[in-house]
This record gives sequence, C-alpha cells and structure tokens, in this order.
Amino acid sequence: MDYDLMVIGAGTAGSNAAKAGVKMGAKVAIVEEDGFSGTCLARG
Amino acid sequence: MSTIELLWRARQGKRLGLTGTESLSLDWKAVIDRKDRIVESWSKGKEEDLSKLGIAVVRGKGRFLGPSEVAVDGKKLTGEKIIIATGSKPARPPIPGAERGITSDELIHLKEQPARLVVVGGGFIGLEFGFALARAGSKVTILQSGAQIAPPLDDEIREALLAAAREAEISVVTNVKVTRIVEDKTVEAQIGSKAERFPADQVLLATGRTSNVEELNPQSAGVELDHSSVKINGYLQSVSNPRIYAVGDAAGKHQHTPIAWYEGPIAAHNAVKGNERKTDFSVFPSAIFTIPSIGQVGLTEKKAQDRGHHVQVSKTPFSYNPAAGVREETEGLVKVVYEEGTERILGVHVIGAHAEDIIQIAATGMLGGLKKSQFGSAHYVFPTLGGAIFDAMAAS
Ligand SMILES: Cc1cc2nc3c(=O)[nH]c(=O)nc-3n(C[C@H](O)[C@H](O)[C@H](O)COP(=O)(O)OP(=O)(O)OC[C@H]3O[C@@H](n4cnc5c(N)ncnc54)[C@H](O)[C@@H]3O)c2cc1C
Repeated sequence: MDYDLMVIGAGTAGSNAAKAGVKMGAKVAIVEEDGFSGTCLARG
Repeated sequence: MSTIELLWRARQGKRLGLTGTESLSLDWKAVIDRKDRIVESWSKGKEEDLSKLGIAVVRGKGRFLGPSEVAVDGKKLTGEKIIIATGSKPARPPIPGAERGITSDELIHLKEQPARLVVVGGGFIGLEFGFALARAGSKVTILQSGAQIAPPLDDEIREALLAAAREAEISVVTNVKVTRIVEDKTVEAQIGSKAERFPADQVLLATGRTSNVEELNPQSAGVELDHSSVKINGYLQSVSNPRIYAVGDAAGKHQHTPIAWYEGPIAAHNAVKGNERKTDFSVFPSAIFTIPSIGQVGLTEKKAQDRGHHVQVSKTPFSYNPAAGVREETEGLVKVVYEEGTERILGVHVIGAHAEDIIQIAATGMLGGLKKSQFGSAHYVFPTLGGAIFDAMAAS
C-alpha cells in the first residue's frame, strides 16, 4: 500500500481528517481536484 | 449576509435618532469583491499547511478502481484506509429550462444585483438568499413545493419568520409545482389547478444539495449509498466496505461546517487506530442566516410531542429584553420546550437579532444537563441579548 490513509477531498472535513491522521503517525495523502477552501469558505 | 443586515439596521437609524441613513445603499459589486478577497486571503496557504505537516498533496480528480485503489489523473494510488470527504453540490431539479436558473454557487458571483429574484425551494439556502436579496432591495418571490417553508423549524418560529418575510415584502408561495423556466427566465408553475407565471431577472435553484459520491465510482470499491451519500455506521465507516470511511457532506444528512470539522478527526482516528470513537449529535445547535436569523437546538414542540414527552413550553419575546429595546431590535422570540416534572430541556428555538450566537448559550446549558429552573436562576450580564435565553428559562 502507498499510504496508511488516503483522504479524497480537501474541504473542512477532509483537511481535518488528514491532519488528525499525520498526528497519529500515519502516512497520509490527500486528493483535491479544485481549490483548498471547500464549500464553506468558497461557496457558503 | 452580515453586510446586508447592517445596511437594513442602519436604514432604520431614524428610530435611534440618526439622520441621513435612509438613503444608504448597497454597492453589490463592491460587496462581492470584498467577499472574494476574504475567500482568497483565508484560502491562501492551506495547501502548503497540509504539505508542511507531511501530508502528500495530490492534485486531481479521484476515482475508485477497487476497494483500496484510487486513480488520480491516470496515476494509481493505494491506501490501507480511505476517507471520502468529497462534499456536496447543489442539486439541479429536473425542470424543463432548469439550465436558465442559477445555484447559490453562481449567485454569490453575480456581477449585478437582480431586480427580481424568484427562488425555487423554501429550504434554508433559499430562505437565506431570499431574505438577503430582499433586504438589499430586490423583489423576491419564494416558491416552495410543500405546504410549509423550512419544515424542520418549530411552528411558532416559522410563523415569526413568515411575518418577517411579509415585512420584507417577500412573497412566499407554497404548494407550488414549478413546471418550466422559459427563455426570459419567467418561472411557470402549477398551484393546485391554477397555472401561474412568475417573471424574474434571475432564478435561484435551491432545492437541496446532493453528495459528490456518485462520480467517485463507489460501486467499484463496494461502497453502498444511501440516497447520494455514503451509507455509514456510528463510526463513520462504510457499512459495505470496512476500509472506507466518509465524513462531512459526503456522509451527510446534516450539512454543516461544524459537523465536517468534528467528523474528520473521528474518522481518521477510527481508520488508523480501529473503531473506538462514535459520533454524538445529541446536542447540536444550528442557525439559519435569514434577516432576522434563527437559532435552534434539540426538538421542536411538535417533535417532542410526537416522541411522547409531556411537553411544556415557555417563551419570551425579544420586546421584553432591554438590550433589544435600546437597539430597536425587538422583533423576535425565544421559546423553550421542556419536559413536565423533570424540567429537562428538550429544545430551544430563537428568532431575532443574533439568534445564531444566543442559541449557543442554550446548547451549552443542555449539554451540561441544566434543568430549566437552574438555567433560569443563573447569573447573567445585563443588559444583553443573550439574557433573553435566561429570561425564557425563568418564565413559566
Ligand atoms: C450557500 C451555502 C451556505 C451555507 N451556510 C452554512 C452555514 O451558515 N453554517 C454551516 O455550518 N454550514 C453552512 N453550509 C454548509 C457547509 O458549507 C458544508 O456543510 C461544509 O462546507 C461541508 O464540508 P466538506 O468538507 O464535507 O465538503 P466541501 O467543503 O464541499 O469539500 C469537498 C472537497 O472535495 C473536493 N472533491 C470532490 N470530489 C472530488 C474528487 N472526486 N476528487 C478530488 N476532490 C474532490 C471538492 O473540490 C472540495 O474541495 C452552507 C453551504 C452552502 C452551499
């Protein structure tokens, strides 16, 4: 496996999940197709 | 919304002894430009922040190839565990001419304020934009398919919201079946047996949001869906593929930022360390940014009755609140739903200025398990809008 944890989407939920993952020592990747602000900031 | 609320309040400055405020106006383009600058400055550095922490940032659209394989722009990546956090997008209703309407994503980028806005959908997003544009001077009509706008609201709060809509000259029409949006953006609809036409400069489609999961090709990973979202258990784990978790709007019944914020680390924990943490939404405050705004936590009076509680209610109008009085922000109401005998607080509902902040006082008290009379006898700062919560708890 390339990563312990892969997160798809870097909005509020995904970014927080990825950050929590590395804090626990996991090897983490995050995949994002657009900006890194998510719906709340960019569209809410 | 906050800028438009300020404009609306400021225009009433005469009541406070201010002169010249009636002629205040809104520079739509300047407001949108300022919003864009805020979004840009708050977004800056987010990507670097993630990579600085040691997270591999992969740009591109993800798509499942198998239970633990994701393709991103032709590259294949594998993960022991995968968290789906793909959010949601506005649903476009299957109405002929729907492409002539805009969604909230597009409305917040309009270069010009529409003189006439027709909103299809009387849920939270439709109401928020409807109120904002009406307070900013647009002629707004809200068309709701069901018998009531915003069904999750407490009935009395909805009545107060409808009164505010009348005062804002918003036309709210219920039991409407929109049949077509024609070329000049006129919305054609059927109301009972009558055909009606609603001319518009822009049509906002606000008929809900669907999760962005279908495009991920969830079938190939064995991920079962519930409507458009990932079907999950209390650990945020897919019920059909235990290697996969889902968070935020992708998992979502309730689509709110604090839920996305809260669920991310829980899913990460369960994915990395095993299923140890469950989500708990027993006390979950939320707000609707209409003008005036609404805050709610817990059960409505009707829901509490349906669940078989012996329900009692206490209320205080904002007009009893001295802080609201000196500010001339007296439209509004605090309503407490509680259980007879035990005085357990079952729900609190607020409509009025700063309801979104005031409700948090109630939510914290509920989380701490305060009985209504304990809450009502707590010390609080006077005169404050938040005092209305304590007064409503003390009222019988
Ligand atoms: C108009 C509006 C007003 C709102 N107002 C409020 C409010 O007042 N209070 C509140 O609490 N909530 C509000 N919300 C809801 C809130 O914005 C969302 O609940 C929250 O942003 C969800 O966060 P998320 O991380 O789940 O998803 P998002 O923030 O949508 O992030 C998902 C990310 O995943 C990416 N993505 C999607 N698919 C893929 C793919 N296949 N591959 C790679 N990346 C992908 C997207 O580009 C996006 O960046 C509002 C929403 C709207 C639209």
